[in-house]
Amino acid sequence: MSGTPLAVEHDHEHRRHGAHVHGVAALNLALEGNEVQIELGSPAANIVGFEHAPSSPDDHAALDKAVATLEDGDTLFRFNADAGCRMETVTVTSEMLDGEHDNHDGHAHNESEEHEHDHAGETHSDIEAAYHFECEAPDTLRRLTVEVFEAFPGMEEIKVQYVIERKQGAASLTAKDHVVRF
Amino acid sequence: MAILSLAWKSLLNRRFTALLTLASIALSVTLLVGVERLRTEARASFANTLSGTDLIVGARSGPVQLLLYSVFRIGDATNNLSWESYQDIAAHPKVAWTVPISLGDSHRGFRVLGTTEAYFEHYRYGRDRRLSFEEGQPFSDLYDAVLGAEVADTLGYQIGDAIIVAHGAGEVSFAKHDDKPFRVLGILERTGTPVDRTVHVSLEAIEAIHVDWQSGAPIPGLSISADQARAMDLTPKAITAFLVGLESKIATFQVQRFVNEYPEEPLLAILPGVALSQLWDLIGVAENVLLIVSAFVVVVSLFGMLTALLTSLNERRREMAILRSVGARPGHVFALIMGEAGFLTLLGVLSGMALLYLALIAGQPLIERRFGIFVPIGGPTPYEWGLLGAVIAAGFLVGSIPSYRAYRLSLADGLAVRI
Repeated sequence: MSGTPLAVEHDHEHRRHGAHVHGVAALNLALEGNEVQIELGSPAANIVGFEHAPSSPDDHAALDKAVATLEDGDTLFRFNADAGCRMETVTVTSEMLDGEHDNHDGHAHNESEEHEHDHAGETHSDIEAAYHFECEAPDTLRRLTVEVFEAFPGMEEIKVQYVIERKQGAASLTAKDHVVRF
Repeated sequence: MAILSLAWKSLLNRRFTALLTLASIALSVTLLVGVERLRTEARASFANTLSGTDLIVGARSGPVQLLLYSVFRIGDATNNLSWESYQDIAAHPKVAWTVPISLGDSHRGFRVLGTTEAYFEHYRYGRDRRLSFEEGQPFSDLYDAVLGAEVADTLGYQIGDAIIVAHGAGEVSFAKHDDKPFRVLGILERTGTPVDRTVHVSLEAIEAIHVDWQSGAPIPGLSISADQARAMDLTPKAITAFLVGLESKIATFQVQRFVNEYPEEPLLAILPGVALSQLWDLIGVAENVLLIVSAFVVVVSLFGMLTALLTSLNERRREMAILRSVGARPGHVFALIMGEAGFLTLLGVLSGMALLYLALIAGQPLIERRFGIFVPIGGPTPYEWGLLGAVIAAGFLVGSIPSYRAYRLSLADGLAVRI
């Protein structure tokens, strides 16, 4: 059965659903050389409090604020100081952001319909943020303090997977215990 | 200074009990720190059962399950994955190497693993150690087998012996691939990992012994001999799992997502280090129990010291009275007993550590050979210092009880001792 043309590229997107648990987010961290890559993926509800496409000005304001907070990687992720890690780039992506500009040009009617629909709990949206850090002394990297809980009270648990050179590991963070020790 | 020499002489006078107390403290400290060290190393060694592999890919199930059957040969795969999917993922630009694994058959209770020569080249365990051959070499012919150390030891196989692979993973199997015997070409050195309990053959061999089989039984009337099978196309249709090494560690999560979202087949990619630590969290309760038990042994030995000191107090009331008569204040009496408790504890901790290092130096090669756990002989870790500090503090705390009693007694008795 495998490899049959049935599985057309966009077809599977609709049928497959990753785990989407409100309150829980995933964080991946990889270090190689002096580069650190961090990916944070979370249900949008943890970050902005709703998951429908933004319709009201309030929604947009909340979303913009959340994106701005997410983009401040140096505040959200603090490495032990002697490692000298600085954020270089960040990208925040979400299906909720794709509609941002369309919202202003005459789809208002449709939007509100969709809005009600979403309240029935059928739509789930995720927000993903990818960070790129550079470290001066990657060998001394021992600790990562994750301040995501402070920034987003809707966040209850972050499941962390990390790859640091040859070492792989996992951790589970909560608002109380939000430090990863490598 | 005179009081110190008096205290020393008094202790010498009671040397038998003092030595026993000292020995029990020393042994308990050896046990406590030894257990702590072994447990740290066992954990590290467990996490290093498989090292250098960035991802393990199998049919979609749970991470721990995939780890159990692909690395520990425990349980079975829910599904196999198709050869085409394997080829697709192996061709991903970030993938440096892959090692396919095919499980399902056994030899006298040991699992048979079909793989390629890449296994011997890329499989790493411990701190980046490769598999090495005690004897022989990787398989070259279709019907060659390479045995793990324990398989060879337990079943007493030598290079050149013939072995028959049985269908299925049970200890006793009635369905045997006895028309196609294997020849032992290599025996691996002991690793302390599940590799020791594995019979390795080539992927093509797994295919060859099953060419005339269907649904777990030989097809009646169809018999393809070992030599006829050689001429056939032995590319497998499916494998159980495969190990992946990447060009760059930073691509780990990218490739993991590529596999998990692979549209043609539901697959699962896990980070072995992450799954190993999840598994250890499940089974690692035992290590904490060990540490707690050895902490209790320390407590018991300190109680032993308490008993010894308290019993000695009665014998020493006269001694105290004499000390008082030559000018010792009750505070001195307190310090005397306290000093003795502290001295015994400190000396106990010191000799306990000395004993531990002696045992480590003597036992290190043995532990490594037998269990694959390398216990480095280094200074105490901060956690071990903490344990030692706690023992010493507890020793002083315990010592304060008889000291206080002696202090009270010497106040009450003064110079007159009525025994």
